[in-house]
Amino acid sequence: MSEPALREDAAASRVMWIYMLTGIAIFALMALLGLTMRMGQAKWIALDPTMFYAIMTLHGAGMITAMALCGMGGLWYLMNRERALSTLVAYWAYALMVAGVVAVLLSVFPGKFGAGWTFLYPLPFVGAAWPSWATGLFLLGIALVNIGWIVWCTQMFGCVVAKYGGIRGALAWDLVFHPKQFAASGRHEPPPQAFAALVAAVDGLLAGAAGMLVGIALIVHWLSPSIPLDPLWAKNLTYFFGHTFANLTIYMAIALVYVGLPRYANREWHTSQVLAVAWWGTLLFVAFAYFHHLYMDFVQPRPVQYIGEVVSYLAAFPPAVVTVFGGALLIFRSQLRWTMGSMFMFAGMAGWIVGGFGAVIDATIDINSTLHNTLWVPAHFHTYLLEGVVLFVLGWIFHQLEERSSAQSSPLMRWLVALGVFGGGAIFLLAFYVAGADGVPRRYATQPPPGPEISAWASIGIIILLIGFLICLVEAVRLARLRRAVAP
Amino acid sequence: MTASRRTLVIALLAAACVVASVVPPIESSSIRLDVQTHHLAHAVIIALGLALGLVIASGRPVREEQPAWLLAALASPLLAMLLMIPATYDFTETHPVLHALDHLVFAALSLLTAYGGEHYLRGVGWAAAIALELMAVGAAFGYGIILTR
Ligand code: HEM
Repeated sequence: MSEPALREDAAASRVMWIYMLTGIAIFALMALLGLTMRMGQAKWIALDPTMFYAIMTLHGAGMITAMALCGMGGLWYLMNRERALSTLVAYWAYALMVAGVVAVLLSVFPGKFGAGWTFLYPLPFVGAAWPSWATGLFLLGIALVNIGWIVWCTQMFGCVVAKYGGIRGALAWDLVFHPKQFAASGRHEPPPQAFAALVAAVDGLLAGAAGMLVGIALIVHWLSPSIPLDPLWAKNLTYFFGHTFANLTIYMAIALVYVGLPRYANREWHTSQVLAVAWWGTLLFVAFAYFHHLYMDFVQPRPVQYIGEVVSYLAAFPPAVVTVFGGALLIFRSQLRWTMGSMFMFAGMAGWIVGGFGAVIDATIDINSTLHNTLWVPAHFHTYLLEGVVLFVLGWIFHQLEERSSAQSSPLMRWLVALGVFGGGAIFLLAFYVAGADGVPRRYATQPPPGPEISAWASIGIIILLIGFLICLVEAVRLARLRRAVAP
Repeated sequence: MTASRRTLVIALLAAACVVASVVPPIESSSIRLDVQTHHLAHAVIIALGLALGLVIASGRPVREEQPAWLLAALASPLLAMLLMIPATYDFTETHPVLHALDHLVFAALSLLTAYGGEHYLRGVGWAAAIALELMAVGAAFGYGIILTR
């Protein structure tokens, strides 16, 4: 049976580029802040602790939002090919998120808000080294980002439900349980990227609602401090929002690989029953995995702690067993065309697995009691965010540039970029892992030994990494300026 | 659902909304609720308003995006949650008419959430309704009260 035709339009492409380029610009700025923090910890530069925590807060919030913007733009573009979407709504979401980023930026420069991007109650209010307006502006900024996110999730939800015949169709329920009738009905199963859209929309809306509730409560508390908030309640809601939002950036970005990688392998990434069921699992696991952030909270009900551990383990299966293994099968003996695009996508899957492994280790309660709040935590999430999500996004950007220009990068260029981005990245990440395993705490402006020494190695790694990204940028600009070889 | 049955359900839900909003504040103006119960009472009114909005919207399913309705569907729950400020409860409990009006606003905003969502695009009203109800119930477990010590 023939596949349904895909829609392509210039306005949609513009939406995608605006989202992605904004995300990349924020990423670049935040990467420099990351280097500043590591150099401060290495004592290469004098960084006042108040400034360190302010930078750390901005870096965390900025990076997650940057990656969300990239994933949102990419997935929006892919889903628009399936069903026409209103660009107006996409721009509303974008404008709200950018307004939020500006507010957060101002709360840090000049406000010096430094309670961490997780703004865990009561930290933003107790013993603050920053003015009260900075707290309010930060909370407002995060609320705006969240509202923008909710607008996007709502649009995605409407899209998948309308396109595939309700939630049942979007889940490919009949494909899984009534495959013969499904085949006979002539209906098309949702493509793999539609599952990413569904999961991002549903879990995103739930997380967004939690974020909105705790956000309003915090803003009201900021205006009227006599209104009490239950700290455990606030922590659950904050982590449900924050962890899920951050986690979904990966699932949005993998949609780009579902569509991009097959183009290099000359094969198709089909929706199978296994893939559908794997995404059902992801839908469930992503919503409950945040419990692993509360292992240390003795007042948290005990069953929830077990759920947290089990779900964190289970969450690893769909990506590892279905998506990454599926990706490996897709390219196995396919005579994959190695370009910048395919290189980034392939390496990103490796980063996802390595980081995921680090996460599962830390989600084990026994081990967590040792690794909790050590640098192991940023180690694992930087692995799948920096060497996973960022690479998926770069892979997609290069895929688009290569298709537009019908040109590719030279092998030397690929080696240079690979050495910088993967080599420098590996040194940077390894420093986090080693320090974490040695018990160096995270979120410390001044680290106990051997923190400073390891931070110096990390700084060298970051500089190499940033050089790699710079070469990447030059190459991307070169490809973007090349005209299409074939007439449009 | 037939048209006459739908009309009946709408009438019943609308009546339930008004009764749940108006009767308790007026009839039991001497009773002071704790914050948790008060939040939960709001959640009941909100549930009724949401159900009413969904039933009204079910008559004409929308298949193309109507962006303006999305604004209504997202601004209404935001306003509803902003109105659930625990510090105002003491005051409204001593002013029954204002209290009843406050409840009617909750019902109206909930109706608009579900109706607006369904008018933006079929199915979205349900998602918006579930999100608002979860927020309303969720508020009862820590917003304005400390339950865990
Ligand atoms: C060039 C790349 C990057 C560098 C050099 C960098 C560096 C750092 C450093 C030094 C910290 C503080 C660690 C500590 O002592 O606790 C940090 C924290 C963090 N980073 Fe990055 N990072 C980079 C990329 C990313 C990316 C791509 C993301 C997400 C997409 C990200 C998200 C975060 C978050 C969420 C935190 C935690 C902030 C907090 O504890 O409040 N980073 N990063």
